[in-house]
Amino acid sequence: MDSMQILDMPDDCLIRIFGHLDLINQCNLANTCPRFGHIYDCAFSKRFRCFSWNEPMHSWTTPQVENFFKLNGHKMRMLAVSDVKEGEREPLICKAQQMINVCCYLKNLRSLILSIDYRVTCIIIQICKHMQKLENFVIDCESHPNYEFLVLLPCIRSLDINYYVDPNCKLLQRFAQLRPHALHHLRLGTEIPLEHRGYIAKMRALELLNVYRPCYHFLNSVILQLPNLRVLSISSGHHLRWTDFKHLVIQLKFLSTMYIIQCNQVGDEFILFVVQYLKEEIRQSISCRQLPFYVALYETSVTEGMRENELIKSSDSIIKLVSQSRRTAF
Amino acid sequence: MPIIRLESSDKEIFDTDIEIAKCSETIKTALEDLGDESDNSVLPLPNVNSAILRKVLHWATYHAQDDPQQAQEDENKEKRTDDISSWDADFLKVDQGTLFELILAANYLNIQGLLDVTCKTCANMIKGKSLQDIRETFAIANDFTPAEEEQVRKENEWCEEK
Repeated sequence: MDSMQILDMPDDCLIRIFGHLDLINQCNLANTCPRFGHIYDCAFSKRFRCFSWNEPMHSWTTPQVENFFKLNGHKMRMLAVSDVKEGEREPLICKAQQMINVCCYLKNLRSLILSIDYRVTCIIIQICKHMQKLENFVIDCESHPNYEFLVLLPCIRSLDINYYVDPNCKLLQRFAQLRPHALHHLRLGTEIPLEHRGYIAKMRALELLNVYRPCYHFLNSVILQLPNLRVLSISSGHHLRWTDFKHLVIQLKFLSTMYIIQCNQVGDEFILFVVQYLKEEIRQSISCRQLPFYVALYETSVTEGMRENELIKSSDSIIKLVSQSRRTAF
Repeated sequence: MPIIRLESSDKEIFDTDIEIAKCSETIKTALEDLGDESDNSVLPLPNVNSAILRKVLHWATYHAQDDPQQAQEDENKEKRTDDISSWDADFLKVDQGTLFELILAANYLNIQGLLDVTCKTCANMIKGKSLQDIRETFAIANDFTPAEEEQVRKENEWCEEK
């Protein structure tokens, strides 16, 4: 009798052997022949749906990375990529090129978190070219690459750009002109250039907006123009008065969640007003909000005692209050 | 000492201590099903030849005192392959064909410990090797045709759309 070969074993034994290998050796084995490729796909079909491209992959060579994504990229729905190397200050430069190379395997991706600071415009072009199903895009990149192409992503609903600093960027303008109803969620982590504010006002489908250091005028001419807002986050609004916030609650009929960060003119009277106002809405049966109304406060003038206030305590089905005087992990 | 008579595929009979034979879940279940009728009866193992069964029983005898609880815990731990005991390592210094047959037997007889250590040994033969080295080690023909590669890719796409 001829000696037994590895491929004479049944699938369940071969799957076990795969189970004892790390990512890179698994990829190698999967690539040796069609049967191993097939077993690998069946055994790990759900495995990389949410994937964080991280250690230990940083020590992989570029062909190894490409091989891995070639085998598994189509399974990925969510991917987080960062060029930060653990414990080191210098970013991993080669990761930008690797990202450019592997975008073509990521056609089923729905969410992407990208934290790379090199050749980002090239990466964005590849993203727009290949990730036709992308819905959520989060980018943390200190330089301001050309974001304009993102308007081409057919399924995009949610954009989170940590540094939006180039006043010549045409991203918001393009969305406002070409696809004003595409975006439902928008977060810009830096102050929005003056001339771009009007574009946001045109995005009437926005349900979530997260802005940094808006002025009174921004509240009036932009935020109040967005009738569908459900979630609003305002950071560093030191010159906003509490009555400005009061108008937001009155005019935005669906607003149900507010994050108020570093707004020192917002105090207890705002909270008391919200409770009274919501109660009145309920009494008249005109409330369109999802209750309880959720307010998270960080570094505001709302006092600690507010949560112990009888009115708030007795209204926990109407309002939920979370407050912190010092800003911690947020 | 109660004895069970195991019969290999080539009709050799192995008189085995029942407690040792019971490290195989398959044999244990068979014994439970037989109940009292198991006295002196022969249990045929048509998927294991005498050479392999002898090795399996050798392994089982050495590991008869192992704590099954520990084996259970190991199952949940992160997979390691550098924790093979020196006795097992010596025991598994065999040719590839024998190793694969041991894996097959351990799978058929459902002996977790043996299955684990044989698969780890096999995994160690793959680790750190290039694609080409793996093919050479196991004499795997590179029979990916471009058409096939395309086919595999297409199938995956179909799975993904569900």
